[in-house]
Amino acid sequence: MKIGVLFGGPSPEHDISILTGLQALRELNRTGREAVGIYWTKTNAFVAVPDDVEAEAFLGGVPQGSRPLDLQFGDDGGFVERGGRLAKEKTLELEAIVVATHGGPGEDGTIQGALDLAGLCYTGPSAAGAALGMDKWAFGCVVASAGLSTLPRALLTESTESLDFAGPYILKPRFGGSSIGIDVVADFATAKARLKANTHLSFGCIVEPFRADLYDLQIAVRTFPTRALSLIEKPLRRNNDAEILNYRDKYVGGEGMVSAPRELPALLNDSQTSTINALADKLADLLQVRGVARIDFLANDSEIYVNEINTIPGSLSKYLFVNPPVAFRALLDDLIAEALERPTHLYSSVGADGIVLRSAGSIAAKLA
Amino acid sequence: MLSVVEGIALSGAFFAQLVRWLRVLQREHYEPASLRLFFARWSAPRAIGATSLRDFGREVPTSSSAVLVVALVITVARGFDDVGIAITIVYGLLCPWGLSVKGRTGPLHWTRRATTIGIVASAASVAIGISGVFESRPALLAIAMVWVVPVTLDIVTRVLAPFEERQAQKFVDTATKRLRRVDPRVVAITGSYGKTSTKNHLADLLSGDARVVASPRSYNNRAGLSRAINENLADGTQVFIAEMGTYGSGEIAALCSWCTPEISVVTAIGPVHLERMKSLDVIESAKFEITNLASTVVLNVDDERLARWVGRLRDEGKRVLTASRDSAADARVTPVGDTWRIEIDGEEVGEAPVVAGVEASNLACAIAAGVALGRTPKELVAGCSNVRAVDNRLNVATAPSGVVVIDDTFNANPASATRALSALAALSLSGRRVVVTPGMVELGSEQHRENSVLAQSVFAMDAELVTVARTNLKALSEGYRGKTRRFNNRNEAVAWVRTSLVAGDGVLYLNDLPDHYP
Repeated sequence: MKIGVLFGGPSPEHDISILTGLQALRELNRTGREAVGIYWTKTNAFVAVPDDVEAEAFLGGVPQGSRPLDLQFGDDGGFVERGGRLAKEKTLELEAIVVATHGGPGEDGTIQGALDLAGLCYTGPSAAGAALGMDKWAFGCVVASAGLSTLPRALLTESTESLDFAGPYILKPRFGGSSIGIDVVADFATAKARLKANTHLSFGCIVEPFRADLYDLQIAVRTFPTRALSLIEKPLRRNNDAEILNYRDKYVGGEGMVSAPRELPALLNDSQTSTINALADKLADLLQVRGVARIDFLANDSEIYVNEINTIPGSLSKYLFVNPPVAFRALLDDLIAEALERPTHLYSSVGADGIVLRSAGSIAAKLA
Repeated sequence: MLSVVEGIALSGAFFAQLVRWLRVLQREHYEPASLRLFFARWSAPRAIGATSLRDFGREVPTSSSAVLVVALVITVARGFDDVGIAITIVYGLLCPWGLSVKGRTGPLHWTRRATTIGIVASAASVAIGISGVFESRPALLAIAMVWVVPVTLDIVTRVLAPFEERQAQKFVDTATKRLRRVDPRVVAITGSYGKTSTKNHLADLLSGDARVVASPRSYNNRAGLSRAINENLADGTQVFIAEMGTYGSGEIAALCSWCTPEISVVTAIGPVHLERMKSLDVIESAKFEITNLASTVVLNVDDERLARWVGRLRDEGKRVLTASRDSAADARVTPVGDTWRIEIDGEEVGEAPVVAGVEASNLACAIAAGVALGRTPKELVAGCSNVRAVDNRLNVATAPSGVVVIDDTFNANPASATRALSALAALSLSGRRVVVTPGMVELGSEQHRENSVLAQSVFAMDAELVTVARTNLKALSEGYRGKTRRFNNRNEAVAWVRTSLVAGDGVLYLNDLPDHYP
């Protein structure tokens, strides 16, 4: 049985997801675990990619040498390699899927629901956990109602007449994990104007005070075999929501930039560290964290606010688990073990025992 | 009869030739005529490389291929067929010397099309080769098959063209369906140069506000565009930016018939692809096709020919938006020091910091297209901060050694080369200025002259010229009045730069040729 690594998808983070997926694929194959890369295209097709494929091969779309797959539901569900004139249709024998999709339908419960229906085991959040993590409004409400510290937040709609906190404001699409569509505006009137102009906000917009004095802090949570927190990281650039790999100039020579600038571990005082650790611990329960998630905070030296959660973080946050160190392969093994042991859903038909059907009589009578 | 060993060796020679030329064919977009051209280029005498300015040695007025041809003709004419076989095997396996089987910049991809052509060409050649085995001189036809691989591929490609047509149509049908379902506003961009940049600039300008998809890379023909739509046009896309290229009249009209633009943008008319397009007039009328079905047309009026389109299109009842760097226009971008001054409708609407490698007239075209899409000046000015240069287009960096490196290896043309040279001239350097270039290609009968002019300009600005490969070596060496350094490929030139230049020096890498060019 192989491991499937699923990446791509119609999302702004499609490209970053390819990097995460290829890293996981390469690591599994390198360490002797048979794995197959499943690329989800921007137009919702699935293909199995060649093992040694590089990120560049995706620049134009589907890489050369890929084989089309169908995702089928039901008893014999799974990823099925299409038959041709010579080849027979063949279901991929997959033990589990490492979900390496970021943003959009890959991180909002859509693909998770589809994998559930196909009867596949997978890593990362369940459909419900992913949906909650992707909905910034629902997320904020859950955090606030649990009494945890978070910035004031409001839903901005055409009919919103005022806000009960002062500007400047930051506008974010209600759904979506990337920096795309984010606007910083000085006042309420501009915010309303942007709501009309910025189509990224048309599916829902949340507004928060924009606090230039706050910096980002991030921590990753693993849930299997037991819950573990990573070190806290301070990215040195805002909205740096994914590892930016810069394929720097082949002519310049030298190492080039390997990763985004960051401070790891972040230089914090003890009370900051313990506050963040305690918050992360509570949030893991509150948000049904499964697999590895990254929780982002906004802070200055005296305040700490929960900002958002990434239920499938870039590179699976492997770079955050440095003390104690967790090898990437070990992280993947834990994720896969959890995928097999901890179910993502519990469908129940208890109570649907036919009593209602028997007593219903004819449908026509109900309509009368 | 041929011996088994001879048969196997000849087959090996044949396949080595097949893979080489099939790769050239693929890199040249399956244009059958390209094989003749590249065969001639590769078989021409080579010049000797030299790393120092004095030590050139003598030029050899011949090539290994030519020597082998003469040897073959003599031996076969005198009846020494075994020697002829040996010569053929050497040629097949090793020649043209330098044209690699595997490829560095672009390996052969065994796509369905390449595989089909390869199989048909092999089957035909093997059949002909074997049919000669029963003649009195059994090796002759087999020998011939190795030497005429480019011709065979040329013929097979032409014969299979109708079949390919049907295959391509299937992809177009799928793409058409997808376009209809997603129903984005379509912006089509063409131009002899600047179309890829303009496409990216427009996508960058709009990305903050809308769901935009641009055709990736330089996918701009029927196969590329249908693939771009099938694999990239995600549901919910609001604006699709399609790059359209052309090698002949009728091609853009055909693209527009199924990927119909609401807004068409034309960036420039210039001497590019002259090998196939013959004259500027032909290019101009081919590009004009993009306006046929569009209701709005954006034109770069810094281009004389495009400036003349304005009245004509307005007479046809189309909305025309002009874009310019140099004169008043509906959208104008003027670089003033480190800032762009942006004017829309004759009014200055804002400023944005200049991004190195972004050409003002391309940005102006993108802004005009943004206006056509209903963006406000304020949104467009804000969008300018998202604009990035195309990779390998005037990217300036400083190497750890302190040498300033300008990477302008993206598709050079005469206009972009001039800009790159001024960028090098504008650097404040204490030391040497060096231009490393293989010259420019696809300029047809103008190629020699344009490259010669390029070398003259390098000389005039007091920079050293380092030539790479030999495609344009003659033109470049003639144009440059002093001595030039020559390298057989880019890696050798880069290695020389790394060891020879020091802090305070600057190097411009101008254009890069794929390695199927000699």
